Amino acid sequence: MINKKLILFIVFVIVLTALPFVISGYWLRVLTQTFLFGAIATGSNIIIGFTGYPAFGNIAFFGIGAYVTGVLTTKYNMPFFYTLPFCAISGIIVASLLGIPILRLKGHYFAIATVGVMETIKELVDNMTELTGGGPGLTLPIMQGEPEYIYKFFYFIMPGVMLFSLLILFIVSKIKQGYALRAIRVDEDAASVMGINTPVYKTFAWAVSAALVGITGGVYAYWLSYIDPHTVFGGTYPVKMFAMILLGGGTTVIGPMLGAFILELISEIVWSKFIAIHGMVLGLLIIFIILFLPKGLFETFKGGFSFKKLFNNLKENRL
Amino acid sequence: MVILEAKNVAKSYGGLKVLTDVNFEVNKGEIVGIIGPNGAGKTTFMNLISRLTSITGGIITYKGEIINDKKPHEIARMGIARTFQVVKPFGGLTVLENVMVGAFYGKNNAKSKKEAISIAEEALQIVGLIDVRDKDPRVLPLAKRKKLEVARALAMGPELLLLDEVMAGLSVKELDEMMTEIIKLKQKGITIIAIEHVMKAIMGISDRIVVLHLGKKIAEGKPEEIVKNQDVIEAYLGSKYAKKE
Amino acid sequence: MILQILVNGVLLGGFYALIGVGFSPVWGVTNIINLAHGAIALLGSYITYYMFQNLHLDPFLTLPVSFVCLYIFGYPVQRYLMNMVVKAQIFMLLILTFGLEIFLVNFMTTFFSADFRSVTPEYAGKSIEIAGVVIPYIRLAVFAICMVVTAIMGFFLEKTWTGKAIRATSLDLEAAMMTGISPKKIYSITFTSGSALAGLSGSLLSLTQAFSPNIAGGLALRAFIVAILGGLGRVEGAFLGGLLLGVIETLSAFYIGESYKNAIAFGLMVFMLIVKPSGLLGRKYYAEVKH
Ligand SMILES: Nc1ncnc2c1ncn2[C@@H]1O[C@H](COP(=O)(O)OP(=O)(O)O)[C@@H](O)[C@H]1O
Ligand SMILES: [Mg+2]
Repeated sequence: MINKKLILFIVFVIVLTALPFVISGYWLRVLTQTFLFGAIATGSNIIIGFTGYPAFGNIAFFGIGAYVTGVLTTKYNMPFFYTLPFCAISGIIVASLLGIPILRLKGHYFAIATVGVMETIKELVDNMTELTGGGPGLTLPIMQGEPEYIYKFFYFIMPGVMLFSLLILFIVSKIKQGYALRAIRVDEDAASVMGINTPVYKTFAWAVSAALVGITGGVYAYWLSYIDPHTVFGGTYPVKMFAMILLGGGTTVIGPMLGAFILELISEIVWSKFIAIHGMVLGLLIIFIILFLPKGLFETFKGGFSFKKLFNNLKENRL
Repeated sequence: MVILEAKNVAKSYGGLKVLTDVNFEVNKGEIVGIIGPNGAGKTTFMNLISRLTSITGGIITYKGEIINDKKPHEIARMGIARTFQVVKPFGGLTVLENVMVGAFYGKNNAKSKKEAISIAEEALQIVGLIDVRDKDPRVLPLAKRKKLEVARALAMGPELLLLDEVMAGLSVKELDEMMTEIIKLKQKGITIIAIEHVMKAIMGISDRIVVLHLGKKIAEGKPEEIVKNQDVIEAYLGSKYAKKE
Repeated sequence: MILQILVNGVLLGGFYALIGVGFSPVWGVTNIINLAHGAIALLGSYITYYMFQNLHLDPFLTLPVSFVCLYIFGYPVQRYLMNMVVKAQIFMLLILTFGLEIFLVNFMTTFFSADFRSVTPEYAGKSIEIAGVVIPYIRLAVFAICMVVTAIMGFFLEKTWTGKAIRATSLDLEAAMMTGISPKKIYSITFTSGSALAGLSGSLLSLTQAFSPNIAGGLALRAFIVAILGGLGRVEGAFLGGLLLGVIETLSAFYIGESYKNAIAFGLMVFMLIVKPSGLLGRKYYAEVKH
């Protein structure tokens, strides 16, 4: 069983590596974007899926990472790779400072508090014009080299970040601390009377998540070489991230990544066909997932596909 | 030797007084039963010991140390384990993994997975759940989920075990099994406070019984004294029945 | 000067109160944080805009129209969307309403364009001056309407049987069901009237400021702030929270800078959540206890 999974995974990585030699620039970009979401969803899943805290505003760390890389490369001429540890550290610092008070909140309150944090940071970045370029955004130094080379560079960096997040998630799922997080997800009282220092573990989970999402933001900034507060803090990112985690299954290691692949590729195909109503379709897609696939694609269709299962899902949470 | 002591313990939610002036001691190695009608405050008292809710008044000491300001996980690490009346299995984790959490984070503090697994298997062995170790606890019948609660607590390596109505809702056969298990635990040197709503089961295994009624301790003594106590009969069956006696 | 700012703040606050009055009971009763509240309000704004632009109706006469239209709109949304997931984990509802918001915002962008619109009847510029404080008639009228509607809503919840049933449901669903209250009906009435109030507030919004589909998210978050400030599900709380938010926003816009007013509003919300999530007039509601 484990071996079969491992073989599949190795095949997956080989295909990823071989792909840029056969496909065109447009599809490389689409795939890079897909990996970006794969990384965001996987990194966020440590707090959302594993620990059960719906950190809706987790994209805040994506924005922080993007701006850390942006500011360090433009204002301090730091080479791109050196900025990534700073993305991670900023995420960890912010998550640790906010974690203690905010992770006391539950459910709606926690979800919305993280949105509040995201919006507050966005507004601050928007206003710190000297450092961040403010609302008009920040243009990063463009990478040197042939366009073809740059495409491939990011094609490999982005899945690199995604696989790194995946590895961390895998490790967390295996170690002692992972059991604590899963216990917290189900019942915090029960977890605490079993000796788990819940505030510390929750903060740990959020910090790890923040670091991973922060690094992803840094890579994103360098990839697009232009960032602005309204894109990197919010937009449709939070809800897309959540839909991906739901679609793939938040309690699994690999689910969010698969969810990202499915949703992003569907989005991309829809986007190129119906550019005008893309946003509406995205909204409908999300509503569809919540109504028919709240348990995720794989959990729902474990024993094979059938429409009946979709409708059973629909009935389950009805009033 | 006194292991746990409650002195003038009180608890209120807003204006609602749930416990008033509760005093009692538990000696090491004893099984103490706490009984009382529904809503008497038994579970609340247990929540105070495991520090899931704040103590409004009085003090609780464990092994001579005041635990009023401790956190739930600190209490657990000091060697107090508990079960929940409304069972709280960790769904999504297997039965074995559920118990491993106890081994990892309780007083046993298992350092490796191997160690945690062996502690967990032993606990499952004791309560007789070893054959369902790889199942998701959500699919188990209530009696087994209650046993899982006990196994999880045991894997923590407790000195004091708090059992909240582990016998309620069990069949006669299951009840017998559970009683035998509890006595086995006592023989291993674990001190036990067992809450029961039903008197019969607890009478057979307790060294001492404390009776709570409307948040007050109304009686304390050996089981055979308690069954004869007028106040207890009154609390349980209403004053009419008591007068007839 | 300070007096003028305070008056402006109170006038804005009246509008925020109305936004909150539509939003807060829905949350308190049905446990739905309707992130689409702002988008629904904007539907009302566009109703007023198009009726004013094309039919040359006085914008104030369009208020009942958007109220009724969005009442009708709210019914199927509640019945066929929200009801389907009310028993799921709470963040499912959150994402559902977010999905609805994305849909509505993009719908409006596609069909009404992303341009900023405003409704300017010929009396738009007229104002009265009291003790050096300038008050545009329109803002005064909007404020008055907001207050009256808020008061009616308060009366409805306090005094009528339906209102009492709604409050009972918000306090304890199981107990309410035992007394024969049908949660389906209550959820439906609460959500549809919330939607209708959103439409009404959107219409009023169009009279006082320029709007575009993109301000939907900001409106919804403000509704949330109002609910949090005042305490969940309470009309008097929404009233207090609305006024407070209005005054704080105008004051901070003046003293710290217009561009910081969002940062302060959201920061205040996070602070409030941390310090006293039950709001200034705090009291626990069923939805909160249940999570
Ligand atoms: N969180 C709470 N808030 C308010 N009242 C509570 C709370 N928990 C328990 N109570 C009340 O405290 C009383 C005692 O409850 P409990 O300790 O569960 O009783 P028992 O376990 O003896 O049946 C009951 O009246 C119950 O309603
Ligand atoms: Mg009880």
